Amino acid sequence: MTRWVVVVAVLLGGAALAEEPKVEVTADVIHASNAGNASDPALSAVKDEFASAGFPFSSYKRLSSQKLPLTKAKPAELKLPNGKTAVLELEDIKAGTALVKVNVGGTKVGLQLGREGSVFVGAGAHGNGQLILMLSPGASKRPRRAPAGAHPASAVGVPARK
Amino acid sequence: MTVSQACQTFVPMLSPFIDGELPPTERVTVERHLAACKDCTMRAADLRAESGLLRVGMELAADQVDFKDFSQKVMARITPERPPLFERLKVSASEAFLYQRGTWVTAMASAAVVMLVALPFILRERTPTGYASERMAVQSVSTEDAANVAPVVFETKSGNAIIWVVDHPPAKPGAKDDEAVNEELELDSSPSTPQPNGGEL
Repeated sequence: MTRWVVVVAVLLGGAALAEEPKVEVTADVIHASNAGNASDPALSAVKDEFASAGFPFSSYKRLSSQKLPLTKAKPAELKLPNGKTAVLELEDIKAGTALVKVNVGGTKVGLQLGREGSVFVGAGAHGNGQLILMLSPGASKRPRRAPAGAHPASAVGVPARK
Repeated sequence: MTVSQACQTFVPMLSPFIDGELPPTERVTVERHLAACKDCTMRAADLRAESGLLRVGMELAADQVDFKDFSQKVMARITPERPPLFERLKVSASEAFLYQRGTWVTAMASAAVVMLVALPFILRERTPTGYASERMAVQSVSTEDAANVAPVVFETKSGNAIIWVVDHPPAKPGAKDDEAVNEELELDSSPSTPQPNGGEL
């Protein structure tokens, strides 16, 4: 009896160790425009974030939201309404932190996943506005609101123009 | 009846003699004495009569007693008070481990193996894979050369990152890059050029 228990335990342990690491990222596709002032109430934090950074959009609508499982062997593809494709690929997991490569229509972003915060990637024009790809932790945490009195954020990385 | 000096030795032996408790050698000695001593013979007969009367009396008394549930009643009176639960458990555990050691060792080894296998699954549920870091952060941004766009990264006050791409047309052939940029800026600032109206940068 003990022998069988040990055999089963070893097999299960081996299976657990051999399982490929997988992470989940929540990807929301948001349409931002100046067509009217109607905004999804759930996106009020997003509106505040963009307003604090100097983006003057008045209307924000969530077009889709999904959790994308990522593994090293299988990247996730997300087709956007404007014909572009967002590709998310798990590059590595170092010290428990996942490094994800995001490619949105030629724009490549190296992203370190974390339990809080969000990253917004412009995904190009669509209709009378712009598409925004919002990447959040797998638990779908919404971005924190900017504190009252926030001023337009300073750019942290501006490519030098020759 | 006065006891002669010779009988003083045998009188104490008469009662065990009647009860059959004397060893064979002493029994023979007492029988020899009774054969020669009329007084000790009468004493032995009295002792036999007393013994018989006692036996009949005890039997009559025993007939009048109900011995049903006798053993239970006796055990109930001699059973000690029940010890506390902790003491009983301690004794049970020590006896079980003492007399069933093999079974205990097997059970504990199996439980340890199951815990070793289950623990990673349990812990995994609490800390999502890949989310050891506190905040999401942008490590690098780049664009493809053929895309003719340039990325601009903004950090909002709450620490989130906005990555926006702006058009970056390629430099005109034969012209310096600065001149191309200045032309672009001039075009942008001329009144006839429509200014971006939200949605465009």
